[in-house]
Amino acid sequence: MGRTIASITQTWQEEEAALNRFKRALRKDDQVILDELLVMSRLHLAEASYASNLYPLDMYLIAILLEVYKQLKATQRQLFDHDQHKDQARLEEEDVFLKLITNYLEVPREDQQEEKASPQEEEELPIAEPESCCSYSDFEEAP
Amino acid sequence: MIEHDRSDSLTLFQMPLPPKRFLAIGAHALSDRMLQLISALALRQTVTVLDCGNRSNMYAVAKLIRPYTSDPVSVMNNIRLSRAFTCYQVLAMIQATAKNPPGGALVLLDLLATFLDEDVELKDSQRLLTHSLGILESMSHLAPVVISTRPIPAIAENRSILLEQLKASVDICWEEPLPLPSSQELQLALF
Amino acid sequence: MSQTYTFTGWLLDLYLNQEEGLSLWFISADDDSRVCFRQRFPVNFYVAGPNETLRALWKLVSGRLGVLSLSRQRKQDVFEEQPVDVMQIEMESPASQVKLFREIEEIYPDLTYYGADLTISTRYIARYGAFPLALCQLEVDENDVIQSIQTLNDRWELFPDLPPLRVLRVSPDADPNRSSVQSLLVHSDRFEQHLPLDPQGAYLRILDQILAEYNPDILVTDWGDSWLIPFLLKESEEKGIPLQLNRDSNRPVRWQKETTYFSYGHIIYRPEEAHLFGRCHIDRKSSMMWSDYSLAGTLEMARVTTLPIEKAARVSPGQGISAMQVITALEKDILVPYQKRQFEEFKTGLQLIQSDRGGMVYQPLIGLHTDVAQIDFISMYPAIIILGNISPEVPLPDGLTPADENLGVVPLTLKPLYEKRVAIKQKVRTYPESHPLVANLKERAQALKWLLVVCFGFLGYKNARYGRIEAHESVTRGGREVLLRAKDVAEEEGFEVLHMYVDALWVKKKGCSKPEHFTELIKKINHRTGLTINLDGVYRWVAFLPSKVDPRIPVANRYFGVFQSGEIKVRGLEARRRDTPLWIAAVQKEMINLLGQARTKDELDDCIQEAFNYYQQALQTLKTGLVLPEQLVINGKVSYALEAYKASTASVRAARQLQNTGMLVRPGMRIRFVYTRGEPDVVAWDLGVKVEPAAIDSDKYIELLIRAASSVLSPFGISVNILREWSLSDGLQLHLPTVQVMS
Repeated sequence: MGRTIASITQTWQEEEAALNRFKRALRKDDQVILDELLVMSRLHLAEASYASNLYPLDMYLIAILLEVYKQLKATQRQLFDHDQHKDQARLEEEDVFLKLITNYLEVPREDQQEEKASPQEEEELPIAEPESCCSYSDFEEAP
Repeated sequence: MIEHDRSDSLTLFQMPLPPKRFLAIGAHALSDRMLQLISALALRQTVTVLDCGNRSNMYAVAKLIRPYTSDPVSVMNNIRLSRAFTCYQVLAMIQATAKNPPGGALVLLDLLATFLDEDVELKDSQRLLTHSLGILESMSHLAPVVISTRPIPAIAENRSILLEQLKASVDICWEEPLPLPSSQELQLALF
Repeated sequence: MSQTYTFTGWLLDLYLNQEEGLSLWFISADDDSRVCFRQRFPVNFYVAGPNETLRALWKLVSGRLGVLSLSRQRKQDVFEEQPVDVMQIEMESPASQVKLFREIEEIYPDLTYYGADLTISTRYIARYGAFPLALCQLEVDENDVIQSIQTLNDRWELFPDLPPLRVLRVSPDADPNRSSVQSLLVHSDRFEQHLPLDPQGAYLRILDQILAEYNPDILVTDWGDSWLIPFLLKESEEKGIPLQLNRDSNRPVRWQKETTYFSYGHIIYRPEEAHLFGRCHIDRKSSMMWSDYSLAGTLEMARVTTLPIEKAARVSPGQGISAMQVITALEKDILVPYQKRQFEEFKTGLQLIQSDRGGMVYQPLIGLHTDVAQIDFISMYPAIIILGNISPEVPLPDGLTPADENLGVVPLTLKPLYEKRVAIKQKVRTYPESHPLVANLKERAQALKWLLVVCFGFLGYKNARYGRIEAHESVTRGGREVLLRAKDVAEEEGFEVLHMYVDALWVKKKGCSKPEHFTELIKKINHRTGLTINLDGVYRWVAFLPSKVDPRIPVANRYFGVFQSGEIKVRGLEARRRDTPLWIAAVQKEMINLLGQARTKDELDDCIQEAFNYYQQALQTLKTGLVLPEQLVINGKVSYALEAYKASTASVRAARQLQNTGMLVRPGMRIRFVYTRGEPDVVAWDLGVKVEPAAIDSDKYIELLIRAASSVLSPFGISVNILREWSLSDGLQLHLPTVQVMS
């Protein structure tokens, strides 16, 4: 029969849209921070939905507080706690990728012609604009 | 005689509503405007909402009433609501409401939505609508009845008789102004 | 009194016989013959309403031809607290019942009708318990009229005594939408034959002979509805060569017209259907669930739902559930409403906000995780419906505790279905994978699973006779409660909950990497919830992917991983999407397979390298135009009439090409196309036009490939942007061997 009440994602999108004017008037650096806060608010949509509060915005604000406090606690732990419980963070993205490319180029293949690889790593890769070609939409969270 | 209210009023009809039948016609059955109306009514009194087209997004109502009340829960509890998904259910819902008439206003959202269902023969849709409108007519003597509907889409052109029937049955009708044609369409041919 | 004899056999088909009720076809258990009997089958329907109107109706129908009796009854309507007064109209046959009902509905449309539009098969099983492929014992008179019938087995048996069915497969040698058919392949358990479509029509004679001699019970075709049967009938008529497709030679093939309908958020198109008499026609190309559970599953579906085999093959499982609910109601002597009138009970605005919710869908912790257990509730919503006794006529439960001990129509219908599925799954686990019964049991379990999957949605379906939105909401409420209890237990036991999705949890705990490490957790969850949860498996690693739009935002149903068994699980990625070209899906699958070789975290680095190398080779293959166009076909869809589209998507452009050639394009139709260079930028695949590899717009497919590869590589630190930069650069040219990707 179809849902009647707006989904939690829809209400989130409405609240985000309501911030557009505020965001526009912010300085660019502050816009970036605001974006990060909005991402945090999205991390607890299921909980906000379950809460069934009349005002989902209140739940998004609580979610932001929660995430900000988590980060604060994590920072405190890093500063004062020398006992590493978590795995080391992965290498920088470019380092990982360069390693893959290097390995790929260095592995000998039977039918590969003898060609010197161009100094790809030193060249700046041309940036190609992605074409909006796909007819299907992004596969977001389930209804 | 039907009055046609052509003003672009924010609350559609002048409050407080007298015991009459009101009809509002517009895109999406004027969901936003109707939810504003429901909010305004709920702030004052109980309001019964019969949702015939899955339009009763109560989150929107909660947001609308927030600046005007310190007790939004009580205001939301002033709204008594039921949903119908077939025109048979719509009639049954109206019949049941008539048996227990509400104290305050009665609002019907997107009344014609289910009557356009291709699975229901036109003659059955007409019969059920006639019956429904008859009951609403008697209920409107006691309390205002506000109905919204969308214009009949081109694909259901053969059902426009239902809209005519509905228009003929109400006391006051408000129609959303049609959008202006695009400038391209207004371009006159040179030859 | 006429002499009778006893016949034992399996019911294959039954249909209306205009002369005397029903015709029923059986497969003899004694001599394997196929026999047709007739049976009188009077039926009832009921009418309720104001007394004076019923009196007028009584006068109208009393004494009419076909009316056997009129009586006053009191019967239960599930939506009424007290039994209702109804007029029972007993009719001589189903045909006369339908005729009379249509007539009186026209005159008295405001009366309430019950049992007015039931199918014959539904009525038959409710009366005699006989369902498709039921083993029956009959007493038959010398005129082949059934005097009595008794069913010897039931729908819920795990290993029922089934007939030795004769299945004949007939397929054209090519897709008739793409190219011209030169011959037919005819195949059974006894023979296989190619029949060239010769102009003289000799193939028609051979086919007719095969039908007469082999006498199949089931005719399985490809494109039978849309091409083969219309073609054969036309040829037979034009050439004057008889072709008896039906066992019942008095009948022509029955055509059910095409339809488009809306189901579960999708527009579905069903083409015209060819139905046979005395024999069942299944068109694999238009059988909704064939790819999921083929013949064994279809027959299981027919047995448990009692839908005729032809119908069970074609319709959605929702119709199966509907039929089952009606049978339960009839068995309990509950009225079956003709038109659903029940509307929602009044709620406040606040109550609507609280109740109009679905299952809980969490945001997973993005990234790569190792030693993760996935635990799933078995058929959670059906189990909640049964446990909570959720049914339209029963007070709704408080949480999960039922308000009434006596099961309502809906849980009564589901209970044996649920138990049978669980029993089959348990049985499968006792056999090795290679056991001959395993494939059959799995297909049957899959058919039952689909019925269970749709039963919840059906509870909230507007036209479902026993649907009720409050019951639907009660189920989701129960589901949320169950999932949260499971989460509570997991956290109490020291597990970290990485993700939750309606009826599944992903948990991990240091030191827990084997299935036995999760046994205690599962036991406790079962106890706390009252439902059964199962360990789906322990992942060596699983990657939860972010949104394609913003990599910081988690997405609930995009992940892939490898179980300890080596089995790979993929959700939400391009390889799982119907519209992804086969070749791209295959590349992605192979990349995941390569990653799946990693047994430990250390091995993962090597496997990532392998996957990347594979991607590189695939990219070069695509860039050099070596991928066959048929591997790049996209399965689009048009959901609406073409005129309704304002924006012209690729699917719409392709559909218009088809329409311009005179092909009918209906809402819900699948439209296959490829992207091409220049104008037009798409070519509809079913135009039958040959598309050369050079014409393919490789840039578009490169982008699709990049996205598919990035989905797989992003958890390992490679973003789509960097992959795209690399992939689109011409700075490095390598000559590589052609990669043959298995479809």
